[in-house]
Amino acid sequence: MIILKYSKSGDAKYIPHVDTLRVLLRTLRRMKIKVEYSAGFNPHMLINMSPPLPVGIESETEFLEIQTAAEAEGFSELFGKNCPKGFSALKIWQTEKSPKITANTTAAQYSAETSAFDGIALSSEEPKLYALSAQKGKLIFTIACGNNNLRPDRFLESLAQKYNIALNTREIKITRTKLFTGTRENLIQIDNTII
Amino acid sequence: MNSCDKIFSSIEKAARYTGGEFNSPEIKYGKNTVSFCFCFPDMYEVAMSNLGLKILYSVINNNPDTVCERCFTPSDEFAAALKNAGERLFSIETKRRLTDFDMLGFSFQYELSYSNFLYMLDLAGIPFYARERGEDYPLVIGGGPCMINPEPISDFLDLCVIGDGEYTAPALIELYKKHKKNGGKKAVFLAEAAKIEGVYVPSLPARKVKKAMVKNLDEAPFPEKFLIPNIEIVHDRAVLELFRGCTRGCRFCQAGFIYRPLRARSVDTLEKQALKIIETSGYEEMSLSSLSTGDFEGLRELASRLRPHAEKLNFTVSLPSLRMDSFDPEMTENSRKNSLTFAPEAGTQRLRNVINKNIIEENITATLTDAFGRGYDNVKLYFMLGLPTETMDDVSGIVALADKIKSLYRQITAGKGRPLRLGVSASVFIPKPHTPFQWAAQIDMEEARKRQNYLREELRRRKVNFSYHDADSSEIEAILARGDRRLSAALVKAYEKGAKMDGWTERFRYGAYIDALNECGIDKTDYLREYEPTEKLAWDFVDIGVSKEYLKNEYKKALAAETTADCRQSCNGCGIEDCNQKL
Repeated sequence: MIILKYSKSGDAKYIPHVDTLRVLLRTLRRMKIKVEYSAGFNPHMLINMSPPLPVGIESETEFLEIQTAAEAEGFSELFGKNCPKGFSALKIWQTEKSPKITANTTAAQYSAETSAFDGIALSSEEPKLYALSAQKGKLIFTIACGNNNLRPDRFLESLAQKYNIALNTREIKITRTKLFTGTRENLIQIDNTII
Repeated sequence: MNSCDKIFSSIEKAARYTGGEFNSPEIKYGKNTVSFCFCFPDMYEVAMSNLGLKILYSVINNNPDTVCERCFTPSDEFAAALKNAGERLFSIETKRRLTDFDMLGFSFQYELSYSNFLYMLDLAGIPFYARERGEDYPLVIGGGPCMINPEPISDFLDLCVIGDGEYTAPALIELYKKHKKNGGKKAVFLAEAAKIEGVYVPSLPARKVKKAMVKNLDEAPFPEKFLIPNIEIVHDRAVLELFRGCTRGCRFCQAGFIYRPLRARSVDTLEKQALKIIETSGYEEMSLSSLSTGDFEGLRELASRLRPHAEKLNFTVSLPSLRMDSFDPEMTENSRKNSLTFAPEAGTQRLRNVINKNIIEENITATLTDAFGRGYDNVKLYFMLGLPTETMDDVSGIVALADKIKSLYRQITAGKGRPLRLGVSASVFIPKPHTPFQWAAQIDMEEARKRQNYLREELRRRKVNFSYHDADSSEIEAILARGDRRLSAALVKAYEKGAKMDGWTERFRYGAYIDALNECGIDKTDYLREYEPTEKLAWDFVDIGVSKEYLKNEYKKALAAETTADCRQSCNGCGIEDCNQKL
């Protein structure tokens, strides 16, 4: 199988998760690589996406697991030639064992472009928050993602409320920067779990 | 965050407005670039399903020194965000204001989209009436099938393209290129443009306008690449256009008359186009499109040529617009047994003869016997209510037909398998220009509702699914279809009273139109009544090739329930010159 790590940026951030799946499926079809299909009356491509990205959030760390015998060599270029604007292949792995990204993701790191929190001694009792820091115009936080999900924009809103900061989260550029598996004490980046 | 991002981030389904779809052309503006914005007066999901858009977008963008962008009717949310940001309506590709384009081309597919046309002009800050627009405003051009009677909106348009657009649009643009270089005035351009076949300039003195017609579809431009939407749209599949026109002569059908003569593509061309499209699009499904796909002589040949490619590239072929007298179940053998849709249109043979829908009961029985035998258990039938000479006998004929089909299913499946899912849809008949029924009255709305209610009762009792629209929108559609220039003032008033998104049932405001007509002192029955054969009709000046005498004679025959044969059998002398009669 092939694991593709890709970015979703610019106006592509407005494409919802379900539509993103269709975008990826059609990209793969245009690439003409042989993807395995499920059996039965309604065969579909055997692929898996990493946990949904909310509309409006960009990402440098989306993953797609593809059941295929295709080679990793040349995959990125082929993807780049066949994907719509805003998508870009970052890294390819060829592996035998599925890292089960959808099921195993537990946390995600986000970067929000705002100086509203600069200089504030930040802390939060939010149980789904694993790390938080503000540095020169950027707020970086790691929160629960996947089955036990916390949306980055909602988290930002509650944080702003806590510190009495007026913030229109819709006007802030938020980017998902890392995906993790593991527990609060031991977060491991998904990239490092792929063999 | 720029002003566009501010708008996009505050609304739902922003992907409708952002562009960036796969196969997006590179848009380059140079010193002499002629800019054209293809405006479709409906939402993205509907607009992107339109074949005309796909063709013209490709043709115009492939032309050096011309650029084609898109703009569609936005949601109310978007419009509000636009106003809040102090912005005017802009294009999808480069977010360029509509007022900054040289030409705006509006495609009118159905009359109820006229209010969206005004809505888009309003959001763009462009005056509705052509006479109110000076040299600085873009040319507002109308195209699409409604242009065979453009009169209700003629006062808003600088220019209309009547008929096929593949060559007319580029001809207009070439003319404009010269004109722009010489810095000429709008009136001079329009006078020159009026000489191009198919072009109608409403501001010039009345004269006959012949529709534009592409003679050879094999040679006509067809895109190699389609824009592939990033979000789900109504018709989310590749489209192959088999032929234009139709030889059946169903008397209610405007498309069958205005697209004459029949012009088909060769199987060779279609196979080439099909492969190119599937490879560059990644689509999973391809639709073989035409007015009557089952009539295409090369259908079996094409299907057998596509089959190996379909297996290799993993796509399915769908066949819409099938008739019950040319349905070949083998065509659909390999695809999943979804539902079959047919349009008998009338419940009795007598009425089918009146409308010249030459389907006899044997066709219905034979087709469904075969289909049921192959495992189809889902059938949808389309009918119309209010057809000329219709009586309650004809309406109850629909119910009788449903009963016959149900018992046929029971007979064939012998009680095994799933129960039959039978659906009936009945829309209200609308008399259309350039058809034999252009003189016919539309049924009274009260009577239409009575008949709808009758069907609903009788069919629901039989567990047949019955779907229908509220008759009101059909009445307004009828008024606009056979309308004249008096209606432009009423359209503006209706829009001001909130008419918008009229094609969407939940948005249609009948009251806005009725109030507008009243305030303009217009009696709606002027457009709904029966016309005398000697009366002058607002669309008489448009020459679609079929003679008015032929249509008159067809109407006479209709009233006597006499049929006219398919003109592939022998020429009926409809007036079309240069006719091939071959599929």
